[in-house]
Amino acid sequence: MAAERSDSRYQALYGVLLRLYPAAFRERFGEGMAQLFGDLCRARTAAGRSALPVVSWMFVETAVGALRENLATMRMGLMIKKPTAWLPIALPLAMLAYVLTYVAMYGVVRTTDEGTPAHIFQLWAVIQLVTVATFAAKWLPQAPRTATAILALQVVSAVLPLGTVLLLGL
Amino acid sequence: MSGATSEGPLTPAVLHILLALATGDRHGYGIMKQVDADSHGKVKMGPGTLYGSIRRMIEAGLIRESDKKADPELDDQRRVYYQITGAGRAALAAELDRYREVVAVARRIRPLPGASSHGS
Repeated sequence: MAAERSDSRYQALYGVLLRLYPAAFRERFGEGMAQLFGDLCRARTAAGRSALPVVSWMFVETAVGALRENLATMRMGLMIKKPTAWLPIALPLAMLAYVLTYVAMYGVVRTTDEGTPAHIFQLWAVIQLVTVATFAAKWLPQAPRTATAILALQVVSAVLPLGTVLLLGL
Repeated sequence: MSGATSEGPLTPAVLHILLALATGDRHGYGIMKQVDADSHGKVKMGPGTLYGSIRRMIEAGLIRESDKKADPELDDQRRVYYQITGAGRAALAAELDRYREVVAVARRIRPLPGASSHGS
């Protein structure tokens, strides 16, 4: 009885996870996936074993599948290979690593004059702006949906070092 | 679409799904059980991998949805069965030929360098 209750809870959670798939994929295969998930849970429970390990594995596996299907749908996989797409994501992450390393080594140092780290940060900010603008100008008209998703990633990546610097008051 | 066409090597998931469907139409759980049996439990596919592969294989024309229900009395009517197509059989045959060639090469060069082949 307790196992059945757990199974239906897992089923409900799995239904939520399936919502991460693109709508077209979900409409076509979602029911089959949910049935398969239920079958595997029941088989496990019927064998007198806990369903949790296989449920955990299926959750991770399905989440990866959802990411893959979304990438395929948006063709982000192809576009993300363009330097104008990945540079504005990679550069802020490198900048964040630089800022955190700097703080770890020297602590939060506030000086009146701008030192080399500040100049590097400003240089990055300019490069970031130029690359994001270049990407937007080139790809937004061609593939608006994919480009918007990548732009969102670029903006979120840029917020990380900016937010860290603001938060620490550097 | 690599891995789901007859042009290049198939991914392990695609190969095992084709093998499972070569002997009859099956639904998702049926495919998974057959793959598990065929691979002696070595190939583990979750719903994400299975249905992702099925989507790509349908697009590549290797399999299609089947109208046939194996046993309507015993089975859930809503279950979708899949069947292998002619292109799927051709891709499977080509892949198995590739495997046979690899095995033939491996047999020809046996014993492998570093084993007991010195002086032979």
